[in-house]
This record gives sequence, structure tokens and C-alpha cells, in this order.
Amino acid sequence: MLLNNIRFAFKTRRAWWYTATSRTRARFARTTLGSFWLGFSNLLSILTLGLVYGTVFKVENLRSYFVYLGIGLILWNSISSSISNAPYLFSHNSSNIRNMNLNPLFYTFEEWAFQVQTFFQSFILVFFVLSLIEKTILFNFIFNSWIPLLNFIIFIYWFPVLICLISVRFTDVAQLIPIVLQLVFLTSPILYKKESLGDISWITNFNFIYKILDPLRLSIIDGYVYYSQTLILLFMNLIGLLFSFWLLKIESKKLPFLV
Amino acid sequence: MNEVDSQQIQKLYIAYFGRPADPNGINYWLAYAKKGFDLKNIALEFSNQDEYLKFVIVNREIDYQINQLYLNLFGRKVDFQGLQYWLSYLRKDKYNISDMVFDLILLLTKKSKNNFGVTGKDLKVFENKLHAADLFTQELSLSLVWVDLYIPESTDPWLEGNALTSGINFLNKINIDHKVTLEDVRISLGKISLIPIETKNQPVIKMKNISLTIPIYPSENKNFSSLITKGMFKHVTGGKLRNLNRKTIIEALSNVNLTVMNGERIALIGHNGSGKTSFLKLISGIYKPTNGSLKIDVNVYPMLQKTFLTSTELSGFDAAKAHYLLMNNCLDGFDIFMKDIIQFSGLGAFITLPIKTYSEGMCARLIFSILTSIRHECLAIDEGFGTGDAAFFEKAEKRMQSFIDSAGTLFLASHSEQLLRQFCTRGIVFSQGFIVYDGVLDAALNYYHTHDYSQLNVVK
Repeated sequence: MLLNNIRFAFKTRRAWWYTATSRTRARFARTTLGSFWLGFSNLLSILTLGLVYGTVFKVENLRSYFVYLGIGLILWNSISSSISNAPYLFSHNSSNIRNMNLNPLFYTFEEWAFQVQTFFQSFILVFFVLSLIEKTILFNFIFNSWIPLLNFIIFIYWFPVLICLISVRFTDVAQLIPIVLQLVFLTSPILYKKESLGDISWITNFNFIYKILDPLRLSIIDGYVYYSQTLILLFMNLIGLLFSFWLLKIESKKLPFLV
Repeated sequence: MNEVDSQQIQKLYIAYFGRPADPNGINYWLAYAKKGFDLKNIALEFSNQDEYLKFVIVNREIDYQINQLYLNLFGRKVDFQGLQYWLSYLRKDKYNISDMVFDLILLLTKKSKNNFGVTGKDLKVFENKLHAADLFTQELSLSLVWVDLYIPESTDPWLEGNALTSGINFLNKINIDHKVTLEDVRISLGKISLIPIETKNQPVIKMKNISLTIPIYPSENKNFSSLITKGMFKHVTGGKLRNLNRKTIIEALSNVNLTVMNGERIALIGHNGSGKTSFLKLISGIYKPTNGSLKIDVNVYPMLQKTFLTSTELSGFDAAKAHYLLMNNCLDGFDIFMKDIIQFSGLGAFITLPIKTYSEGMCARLIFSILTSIRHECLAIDEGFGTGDAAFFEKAEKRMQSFIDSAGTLFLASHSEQLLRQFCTRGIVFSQGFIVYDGVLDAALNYYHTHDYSQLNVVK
């Protein structure tokens, strides 16, 4: 199943990558700055939140706080965007699902490609600005971040697919997603350090979005990778990937009737 | 007026042509009868058929025609007294060979008081012939391959060919002692040459007891749908609605058994909601069957609705490129493909503008041009797949013709008989998710219009 799906993904890669790119172009079709807005809007958020929360939390080293917040926020925004778009993935493609014999995997790969493209477009600009503040992050990213980045990229495929398949059956889930994401964001050490949670820092152990985000942020900022933990995460990610493929295969039979 | 049934048609086939009827022929004549023609009219029409005029009698004298009728019906030549008897009638004004056939059939149906010199032995031979012919037609109707084979070699000029001659030889052997068995029928059918459908002997789609149910999920319709399934409202369109485990389901297709050969051109006929589109979606792989076995050895390309792969915010060029990449996985030859689309669609510079700025007709031109630019092994086309304005329609019609010609197998669902006749040879009639008729297009259309197919009929 995994091999077949990878074969399909590889065979149709140019088509779904192209349609994903087209979506980005369509999104910024009428703007002057185009997809530059992706990075620019993130930079504005980081600047605003950094100044406000840096003051609120009485941060001593504002430069390193900006890097911490910037990397965390850009990773969070990508994960959050993938999950919040997920419930509508099949409904947006409903006409094609009902009238074309295209494997539904195509739409999931297209969405994933769109999220990956969006992530890299915003990440490059933000990372460039942050590397001016903290030069070591460039070195750390190139030499230490590969496996955490792989985990991140796999996660933003399978988890949204899972949400999407659940939402297509239980439409109320779509309404819950923004609320849950907001709660997860507020309880994740993104705006603040993990230590600030004090006695309740254990809640991060159950926050699997944070479990994906934190190792990548740590590898970029500190150049440190907990290999055993990261490899276990990779293994879990692959199980998640297989599970989402399996569920999609089961549900694809009913998909034209559900969307 | 005499009520015409399939057995009376079978008797006419035996009398005139000396062979068992083909299922499509029976349906054709039953549909003809529905237009208000009685058995006498149909007997007259039979006497004007090419098969009778150009193969059986071929300008021969009237006594030859009488003899031939006797041979066909009773397996013997007419005796002197009988000949004189019929000649005396036939020399009268307004009495011709079809009246003679009609009178004989009434006699054989035991509705006539006059025996016309026909003996009890003759009646017994005829009963055996009729029984054999019925068995032959029934067996024939079980296989579309046989139905396709049991045709003349040519209709213009009329050439009887091996298949129909086999039918004649089969009936010629029947006499008073020879009560035919199913085995005899199968041996005769086996002698029919496969040459006429040489290119149609490779099955590409096989369906056995296929059913398709469509679940209704929206919970807001729960109360209303339960009223519907309880029979509060009658529906004249769509499949059967029923409740299963507290869920409403539509039986879109039921008990579908079908074999489709490579190269067949199939028309899907039926009212709205009869199951045509569900069938197209099933063979295209959009729907999966709920039950039964489905074997598809061909890539079926669906052309069901005018949808693009890309957002309407993007240009026609982007839509064409996405489609090309999906079909070819690379951009080799894309320039030629694009030139063809721009030229054929007539969109010109509009191809670079967002699709949302196009009119509906322009969208139709673009999607039609994109989809017909690539050859496909098998096409599943729904009538909703339009072609834009009248000026484009003529161009599109020609392109469609060559597009379909280049395809191996075709399924076309439409309410336009003209369109179906232009492209198809076989017709499948759907009603409430069931295939109620499958055969030659003309007969299928007749069936659809008349709905006259009772249990007495031959095709089962």
C-alpha cells in the first residue's frame, strides 16, 4: 500500500506540484508583492508579538527571544494552516471527486505540496531575517535539522489527511478545529519558554503538535538533536502515514457520496 | 384487432424466412405493433422485407412462394389440392401472400374454423418447429456475442450469410419425430461463424450481479427521508429508496450483468435517474460496486461534467497544462497540444486570462478542446457534457466523431436519439437501476419508447 501510494505520488508528482503552485499564484494573483506576502505577513506577526510578549514576559535577551518566537511561530503557522484547511479539502474538490476517476490521494498530495510550498516561501524570508540576528542558526539548520524537518514535513501530510477523513464523515469536527488549535497554541511553549509553565509543563508531553515543532526548533536554534527521540518520532510518523493511507483507501469508496 | 405477442412474431419468422427469430427482431416488431399495427399489417410488412423478397422468393412465381411457405411451416411441399385452393384465393383481388400467411397463423393458433387442407401431422411438425425456434431464440438471447453474430452478412445488398443460414438449416431438420433439445440448439449456435465480430471478441468489461447503493448522509434530512422511504411520496425518477440500519440509501444499480467487448459503441438509454450516470461512474472507477464482481480491463475515461483541475482564478493555459501533466506526467509535446487547443477552441488571447472571466460557452469550448485532444482507450460520456454555442457545435461534432472513432470502446448516455444513432450500435435501457433491455440500438430505442416487454417475451 505504502509503495503503491508512493509510486502514484511519484508518477503524478508534476501534476499535483503544478496545481499546488497554481493555487499559490491564484491566491496572490491580484497582489503586487505576490507570494512575498507569505513571508512578509509572518515577519510582521513576529515583530508585533515579539515586542508585545517580550515586554509582557519581561524578556532580558530580546534578540534570542525573537529567534525563538520567529522559528516557533513559522512552524506553528504551517502546522496550523495544514490542519485548519484539512476539513475542507475534499469539499473544495467535490466536483472533481464526483466526476473524475482521479485517485483521492492526488488531492491530498496537492494540499500537502501547497502547504510545503507555503511553508518554504515564508520560512526562507523569515529565516533570512532571523539569521541576521543569530548567525549560528544557518549553520545549525544545514547540519542538524534534516531529520526533525523530515518529521515536520511527513506530519503535515498525514495528520491533516486524518482530520480531513474524520471531518468528511463527522462534519461537526470542522467547527471544533479552530477552537482546539487555539487552545493548543496557547498551551504550547511558542510565545513563552517551556519553563514558564512551571508545574504544569508536563502537559507538553501530551501535545503531539509541540512534539513535532520543538525538536525542529531546538535543532535550528541550539543545533541539538535528541536522536533517539527524533527517530522514535520518525517511526511514529511513518505509522501515522500508513494509517492515513489505509483510512483513505477505506473511505475513498464512500468519498463521492460524502462530499 | 389481434393482440400481437412474441410467439406470433416467431411464427412469421418461421413462415417467411424459415429461421428462428433474433431477439432484437422480435422486439422491433413488438414495438411496431405498439404503434397500432395488428398481426395482419405485420404479416404484410414481413412480405416486403428484403430478406423475403431478395433471398427467399427472388421474383419467383406465386406457386413457388406457396411451396416455400409450406416447407417452412410444415416441412413439406404443398399438395395439388392445397395449391389449387390457395391459388384460387390469391387470384382474387385484395388477397395476397401475406393474407395467406395470416390465415395459416390463425389456423396454427387454432383460432380458425377452416383447416385449409392442413393435416394433424402438419400441425405436429409446426409445433416442433415453433418449440425449436423458441429454444433457439432464448438461447441466443443469453449471450450478446450470439446476438451480435446472428445477423445477415449484408443488408444492402441482402446477403443471408452463414449465421442466418445456420438458423434455416437448424429448422429444416425439424420433423414430426424430431423434438429438439437444448443441446441441439447449442450445437447449431456453435456453427455460426465468428468472422463478423472478429474485432469484438475481447471482453473488456465484465459485470456479474453488480449492485450499487448510495448512502444518504445528511442528518438534517432524517425525518423527511424516513417519510420518503415509508412510501409517503411516490417517485417516478431515481433508484429505489429504502432504510437500512437507520440510514437512507438509494439503490442506484441493481443486479447488473453485462459483458462489453472491445470496440463496442454502447448507448445508455433511460429516464432521468434511471441509473445511466451511476453506471458511467461505476465503470469509470468513480463509484465502487456495493456487491457483485466487476472486472475492467481497460482505462475508462469519464467525460461527465465541465470541471477543471485548477482554480478558476487561473488561466485557461494553466488548466490545460495541469490536465496535460496529469495525463502525460511530463511536458513533452505540450506546445503542440496547446497550439491545437488555442486554435480549436477559438479562445485566442483569452487563453491567458483567468477562467472566471470566461462565459459558460467559452468554458465549454475550452474543456471540450482539452479533453478531446488526447486519445483514450474507452470513453464514458454523459449528455451533460455540452459543447458551447451553435458555431462551435459543428466543429465540435466533427472533432467528437474523430475522437470517438479513435477510441476503442464507447459508452454514451443521452436522451438525444440522433446523437445515439450517430455514434452507437448497441443500446442498454435502464429503469430504476435495473438493465431492462440490452440489444441492438434500434430495438433498444423501440423498447424504451414502448416499454412493451412482458414475461411472454424471449429475452430474459
